[in-house]
Amino acid sequence: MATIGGSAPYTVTQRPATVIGVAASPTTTSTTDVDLPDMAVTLTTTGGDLLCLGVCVVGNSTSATGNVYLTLSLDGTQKGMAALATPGIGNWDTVTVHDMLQGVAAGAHTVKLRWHTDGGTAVANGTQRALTVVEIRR
Amino acid sequence: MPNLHQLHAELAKAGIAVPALGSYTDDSGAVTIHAYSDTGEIVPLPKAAAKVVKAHVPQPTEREAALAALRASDNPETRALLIVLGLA
Repeated sequence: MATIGGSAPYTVTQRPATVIGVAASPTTTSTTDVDLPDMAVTLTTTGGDLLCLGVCVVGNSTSATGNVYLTLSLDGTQKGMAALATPGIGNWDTVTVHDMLQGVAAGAHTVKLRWHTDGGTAVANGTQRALTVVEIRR
Repeated sequence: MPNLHQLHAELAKAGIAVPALGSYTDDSGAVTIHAYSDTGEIVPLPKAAAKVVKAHVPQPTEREAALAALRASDNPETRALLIVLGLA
């Protein structure tokens, strides 16, 4: 198993920033990544790594086989791998996505939780979604 | 609820091209339909879309139509299957 960062101690440079869902039951038909409502964190960093944690309860209202994908982006560029679920119609799945974005330059940055589907209409359950970003330095 | 895939096709037929559609419900329970920019940001529908949205009558999806047909069936095996699947 790969180890990132070894055993060097980390320091949290500021309070973690967290956003939660406000708009209820968002949907999308997009087959490419688009913004998930309310899931954007903008913070000014001192130059370090960003630990990003996203979660969303997803469903699909029109397709039994359509996957719903969740991704993280930094300043408009997708980072890390997509997480996905195939909830089917009438079911909900909890999808989590996380990444350690290393070597992020000091300055203002925006991290977003984004989503898309490859079939049907993706739905997020109520306001059950959140994004947390914390800067840490070695 | 709008049928977003149907509405997308209706918008295209009216010459209004958007990459995809989305929606959300606000505190009052009102559903807002929106489009996306080319880079995936949520943007309002073009003003020209208002007439199309107002005329939109959501049609049942293929699954909804099939399920309604099954539920209308008097066949006991069909009804039993719907109960097993939790769809009765």
